[in-house]
Amino acid sequence: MIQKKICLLGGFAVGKTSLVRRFVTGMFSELYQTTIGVTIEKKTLLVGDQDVTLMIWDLYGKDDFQNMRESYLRGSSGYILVADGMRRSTLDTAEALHQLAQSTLGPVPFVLIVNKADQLKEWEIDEATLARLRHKGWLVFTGSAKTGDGVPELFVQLAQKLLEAA
Amino acid sequence: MNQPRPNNQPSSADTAASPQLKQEWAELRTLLLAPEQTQLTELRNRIDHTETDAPSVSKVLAEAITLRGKQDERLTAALTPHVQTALTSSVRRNPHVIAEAIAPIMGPAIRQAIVRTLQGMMQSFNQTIDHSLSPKGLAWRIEAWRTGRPFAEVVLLHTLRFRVEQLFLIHRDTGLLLHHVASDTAIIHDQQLVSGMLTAIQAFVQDTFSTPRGQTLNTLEVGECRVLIEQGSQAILACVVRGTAPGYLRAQVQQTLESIQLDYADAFAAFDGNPSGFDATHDRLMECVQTQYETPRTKTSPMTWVILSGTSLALALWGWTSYHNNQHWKHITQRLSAMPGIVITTLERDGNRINLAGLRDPLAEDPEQILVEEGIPSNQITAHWSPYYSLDLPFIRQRATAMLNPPPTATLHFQEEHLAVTGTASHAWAIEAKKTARLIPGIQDYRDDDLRTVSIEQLIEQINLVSFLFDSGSSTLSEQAQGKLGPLRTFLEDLQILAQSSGQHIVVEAIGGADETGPETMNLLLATARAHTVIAALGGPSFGSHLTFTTGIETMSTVSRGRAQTPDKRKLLRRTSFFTSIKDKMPQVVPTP
Repeated sequence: MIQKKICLLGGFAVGKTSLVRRFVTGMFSELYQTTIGVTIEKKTLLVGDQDVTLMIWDLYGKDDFQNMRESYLRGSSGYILVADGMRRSTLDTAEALHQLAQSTLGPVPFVLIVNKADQLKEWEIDEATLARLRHKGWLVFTGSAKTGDGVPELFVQLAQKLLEAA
Repeated sequence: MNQPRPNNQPSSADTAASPQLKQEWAELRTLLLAPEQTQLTELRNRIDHTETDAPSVSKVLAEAITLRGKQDERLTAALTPHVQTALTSSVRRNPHVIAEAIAPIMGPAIRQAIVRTLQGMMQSFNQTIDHSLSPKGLAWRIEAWRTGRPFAEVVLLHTLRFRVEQLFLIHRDTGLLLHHVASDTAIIHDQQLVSGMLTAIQAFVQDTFSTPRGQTLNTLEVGECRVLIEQGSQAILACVVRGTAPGYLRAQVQQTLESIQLDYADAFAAFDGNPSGFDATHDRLMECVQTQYETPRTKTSPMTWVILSGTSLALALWGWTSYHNNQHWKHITQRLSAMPGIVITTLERDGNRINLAGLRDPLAEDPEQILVEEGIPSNQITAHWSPYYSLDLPFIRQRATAMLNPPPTATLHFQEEHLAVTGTASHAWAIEAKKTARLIPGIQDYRDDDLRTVSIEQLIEQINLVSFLFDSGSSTLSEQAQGKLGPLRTFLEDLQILAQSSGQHIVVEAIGGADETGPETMNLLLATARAHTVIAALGGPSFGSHLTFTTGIETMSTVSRGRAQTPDKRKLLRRTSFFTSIKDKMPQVVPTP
């Protein structure tokens, strides 16, 4: 069995912990709980014929990404950027965090998920923006931790990319 | 490819050629291509008959396997099923071969495992038994019931000095778990998550408190649980210890980590998330998994000391009190037994009551008084005494003195059982004493040879015979006259005593005298002075309560004057003589001038 450390990066209250919880336990809670420091979850996936255990480091989200502790990032094989579709600024934060992660980890696999697709009407992020990112080579998902849409695919895709990178 | 392709097929022109030509072609072919043809034939033979090539394969087989094994793990993967099948087949067919082959390894390993298991069971069993019935054991049973843990586990937890429960070998950069070992009794949670969190905590502490590079969190402590964290260049070794970890444990953990980093440097370099390369670290990590129980405490618990001290104190107090009581009782017994005039026949204690019985001389001291003096209240004493006469000398003397009641002028002398009396006593007393003395218990013999018996009359007669002569014109006693004072005083004392005992009163009249020379008036005065001189010399005018002195003068009659013409006769007139008489009534003493 292969273990891989991945991190969830994103701005404040974009739904990182909800995504992890949805992925790991299949549950969602409307109750918001801010993450202090880091929480770690584990999920084993079968990718092809290979078991991959993802050690998911859910880092606390701050819009002031400068304060992101790089030490938590160190050793990650990949990362997930999370943005809130209803807040345009969170995408900017995600992009900034991407720069930080790349400088810390180097060119490791990553994926972007724009969360809260269950409230698509209120989104501030348009498809053109996402298309721009896809054009840059980013793997972009839209999904919802609340409904679970796009969540498993997100992690499976990243796991596949991790194995390919190895 | 520009190389000409060999063509062994004849052309269309050749088909029309003669057999001779064919032969020539064959010869030419043989001449030109004979070596290659031979090689081709050999190669075909090798391909068609591979079994004949085994010798040449065997020459390179070992090197080939070594080289292939170094490249990747495909050879291992390819051989593994065949080796397993071969082993299975071999074991089925002839198990003794494999058994004999692995016996040298398995034998000691099995024995060691059994010994360890039995030791663990015995230790657990002993501790469980030890703590089953004690108050502590009861508390632990409640704890086991409350927490839902087995009782043995609770006992182990409490008697544990320290136990290394788990070791996490963690990849330093990723926080991924490389290997994990745990003791049999450890409660294991998701070790991969724990591993990640330990790394996260390390990073958190390092970042939050801005510790200098190289200084990392090396201990976590919660209650009885302590996590020793050793960080190396490649890995982190976290050691979960329950209880008080000894100092050498950290050094051991450190050495283990260093040796693993050294021996698995390639595995660390090639680590891609697959921890199987570190499975072989298991034994080395297990060496750190150790348990040390508290040695059975030889120290006695404080409660035991208190109980022992209390018991000892009580025993000592009881012993001392008993000893003191016995000594006191012995002292009382000795004191009672030593009492003269007392014969103890019964002396016993009945609780607080003292029963006394025996013989008691009426003159003896009261034994109950002694008991009271010794602190025994009189209401706790029951005494029954039978009277008897003790023949102890003090009692004989006391009794004899009491019964004989000798006058002060008589003295009783005791010599063991012999009684003698000396001094002066009345005749009547002497007769009575002689009779009484024989009846006194303990008196064997009574002697009164040296007792002088006198009567009042005899003493009066003797006193009346005494006279003191004076020189002419003098009222001073001469030396010769003074010599008479002592005997006279003895008579007077005896008389006083006898008078006292008889209740009579004696009047001794001192009669002064003078001769006819000189004026008569002077002679009267001189006679009076001579009487007073003698009374004063005897200690008068009173001599005891029953004897009184008076004075008088001797008048000279005409007849006497005629007779006193010679000096010797005149000398006899210058005297003081006595006239003693018995009065029934005490006279009024009138002091003389």
